[in-house]
This record gives sequence, C-alpha cells and structure tokens, in this order.
Amino acid sequence: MSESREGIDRAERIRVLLTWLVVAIPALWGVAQVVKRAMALFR
Amino acid sequence: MGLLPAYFDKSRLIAPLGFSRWRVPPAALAIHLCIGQVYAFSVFNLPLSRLIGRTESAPGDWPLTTIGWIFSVAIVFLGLSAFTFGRWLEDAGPRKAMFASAACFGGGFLIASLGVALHKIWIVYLGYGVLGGIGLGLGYISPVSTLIRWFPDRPGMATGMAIMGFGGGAMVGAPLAVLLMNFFKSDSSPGVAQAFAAMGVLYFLFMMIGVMTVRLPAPGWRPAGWDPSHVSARRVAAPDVHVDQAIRTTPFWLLWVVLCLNVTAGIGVLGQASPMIQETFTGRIDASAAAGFVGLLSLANMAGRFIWSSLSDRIGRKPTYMIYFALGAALYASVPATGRAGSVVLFVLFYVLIMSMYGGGFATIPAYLRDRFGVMHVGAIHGRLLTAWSLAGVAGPVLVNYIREYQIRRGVPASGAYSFTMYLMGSLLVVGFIANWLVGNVDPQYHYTTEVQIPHEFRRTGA
Repeated sequence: MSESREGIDRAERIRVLLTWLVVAIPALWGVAQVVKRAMALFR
Repeated sequence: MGLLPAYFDKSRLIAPLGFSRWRVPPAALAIHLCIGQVYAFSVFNLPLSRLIGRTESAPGDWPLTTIGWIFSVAIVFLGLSAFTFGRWLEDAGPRKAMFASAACFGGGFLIASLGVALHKIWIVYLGYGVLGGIGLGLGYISPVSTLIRWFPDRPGMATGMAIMGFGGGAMVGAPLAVLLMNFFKSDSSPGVAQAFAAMGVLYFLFMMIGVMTVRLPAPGWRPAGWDPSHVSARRVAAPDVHVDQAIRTTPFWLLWVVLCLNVTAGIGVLGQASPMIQETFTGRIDASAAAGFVGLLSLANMAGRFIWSSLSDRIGRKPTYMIYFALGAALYASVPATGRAGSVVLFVLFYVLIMSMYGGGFATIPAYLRDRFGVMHVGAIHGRLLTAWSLAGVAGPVLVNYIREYQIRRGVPASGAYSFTMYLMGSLLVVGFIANWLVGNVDPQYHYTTEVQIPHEFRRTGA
C-alpha cells in the first residue's frame, strides 16, 4: 500500500493546510518577538 | 479494559485511505511547541520571588535558589519519564502517550497555580516539577517513532520538524507568560497563579490538537514512489533491536557519548550567552543588545534542528555529526580570536553556527537511532538515550561557570575569562568526533526475531 498524490482529495489538502496554520500562527508570533529583540544587537 | 476510551487505542489510529502524512508533523509540533515552554520558565523566577513583597523580595518570600529547583526538578523528571515510559509508549501508541503528556503538563501547571496561590513551594515542585516533568518526557518522545514510520524516506527531516518545535517553545512561552501575568496583575496579586492556570488550560487544549490529529500508517504502507530496495543501504532502517537489548550494544553507548558531548558543549554557552557577550565586548554591548544575541541564538538553535536533520537525510547521519564536531571544534577554537579582534559580527556568526549544530545534534539523533536500531522500539531507545541530556544539562553550565570563576580568581580579565572554556568545549567536540567515527552497525546477535528472545549472555556461552 502506498500514498499517491491522486489518492489525497481536496478536502484532505484543506485539512492539512488548516492543521499547519493552527500550529504555525503561535510559532510565528513567537519568532516575531525574538526577531524584534534580536534587532537591538545591530542597532 | 483500560482507563481511557477506545478512541485512544493504538488499533483505532490506523490512517484511513486518502489520509495525508503531512498532517502528522503539525500534530507533533503541537506537542513540542507546548512542552518547549520549559526553557522559558525563568520568566516566572522574579515574580515568584516577590509574591509577598510585590516590588521586591520580602521576608517569607521564596529565594531564587529555591525557585531555581522548579526547573531542575522538571528536567530531571523529563529524563526519568522518557527513560521509564518509552517502552510503554511503543505498546500504547502515540495518541495515548500524547494525551497523557497533555494531561500531565497542563495538570502540572494547574497544581503549580494552587501552590502559588497557597504559597506552598512543595506543591509547585510537585505540580510543575514532577507532574509537568513527566508530561515533558512523554511529550518529547511520543511523536518520534510515529514520524519515522510515516517518513521512512526522510526520517531526519520529519523528526527535525517536531524537535524544532521544542526549540521554538520558549519563544512562544516567554512572551505568553509575560502577556498573561500583565493581564491578570492587580493590586492584590502579581498574576502568577492565574497565569499558571491559564497556561495549563491553553497548553492542554493546544496539545489536544496533536492528540486528535495523530495517526499511524497501515502495516506495509510506504510513500508513493519510494521503494526501500532501491535506496542506498545506509538510508534504510536497520533490522529491529529490542530496547532492552539496545542498551547492551556498543553503538548505543557511543551515540550516548555523541549526544552528551554535543549537548555539553552547547548548553553551557546557551545559559551564559548574555553575560559572555557583554564581558567580551565591554562597553560596546549593553544588556538589551545581549538579549538580542540570546534571541538570535534561540532562532539558530531552532532553525538548525530542521536544516541539519534534513541535510542528514541526504548525506547520512554519521557525516552530519562529523560536520557538527569538526566545524564546531574549529569554531570554538576561533571564537576567542574574534573577541580579541573586537569583531562582534564574527563573534555572533560563529555562535549562531555553533548553536545551529547544537540544535541539529538533538534533532538528528532519532534518525541516527533508527538507522542503527530499526523502527520497532526507536521511541523507547530515544527515551533511554536522553539520559545523556540530563547529564550534559548539569555538566555544561557547571564547566562554563566554574572555569570562568577560576580564571577571574587567577587575575584573568573578564573579557578573556571565557577563552579557556572555549578551547575546552572544542576539545570535548574532538572526543565526540572520535566517538561518532567509531559508531558501527549493531551486532546481528542483538537483532530482534519473532522467536522467543534468548538473552544474549546465554547465546554467547552456547547454553
């Protein structure tokens, strides 16, 4: 048994996107806080 | 019949047809992003030391040394639970283990919140330290073997993605804690207990995303177009080794040394990064710029987990660690020269590279284990290997701090007090290089067979 691109329907692709979004939003918020702080180093 | 409903059973986790394996890495990230909060626990230290005095510590307030034990107890229980529950996790499946992790980590915060409200430190130790620490250990290892099963073609990248979340957890945890404490602060309360309670609930709910999303591939499943018989031998998982047999093998202990030395060299610097850059460039780098340096190192630590472990899928695990150790040793040896030359840019660049390889070392180890011990018990074996982290977590900071103190007592100026430590860290990486070079394949006598397992001591003597 193997996974194929054709075997994954549009609804599943949307689920993949949504799952990534839910996880990525807080992570990106955290990264933005750090980048803001890191800017002080080269000011 | 277990305590949990059938929904959590391993047998209910087999992915249906049409399920995309790309939903599994965010499930793992949801767990690791939360438990990575432990590295941001220090943001609570000052508020916890002023629960009575409010603006400054008053008689009856907890001293910082007492508060420091909360983090240490949590890390000790992380190691103990990864060691103890690894085998259970392989049988129970990732959903049960992730749920247990969420319940322990979230519940730990709630109990700690009660401890803060009642001003009883032992309740905080028990809550965040013991229960939360168990949640940390379970959560750290729970998605590893699942990801390796879903990504046999790219195990380094898959586990790197999850473990990257652990590196990033502090970046979310620290500002979130500050935000919540400010929100709950009032004339009668500094808001710590309420922030703990809110974080317990928020983290539990976020971790449940991982619990609900995770799936196991059907037996015999493999990615489209991937045929293990057409892949080079070093990229295919080794024959399975039982966890109890794995710890009797030389490759396990060599990898233990590899992880321990890689972590020792990095963790001490990570803990001292702020004073180190300020003392090396006295008068040029102030506290706020040093905080920026610490932030940059956290980013490098996080990005390195994904980048290096993904590279290891292409060039192999052993060559990747060769790079960590050889390049790391060269960089450590060169760092004092950048300080003497007064080059902030080179100093920062060298440390960014060092930290990326520190993170990479954590993230590449599960795939390295899979290459040598197979997939069957890789989560449990990873759990046992993490004891190297516990030792390194103590050894690294102790080496950096005590050697610095010793140098200063001998009259070395503060700006040069880290030079000897850097050379020592470089030497540790040379030893790590040798250990990694010696890592070989597991003796076939330890390979798992479905027949009754005969302890190898008896097989050796022919009994």
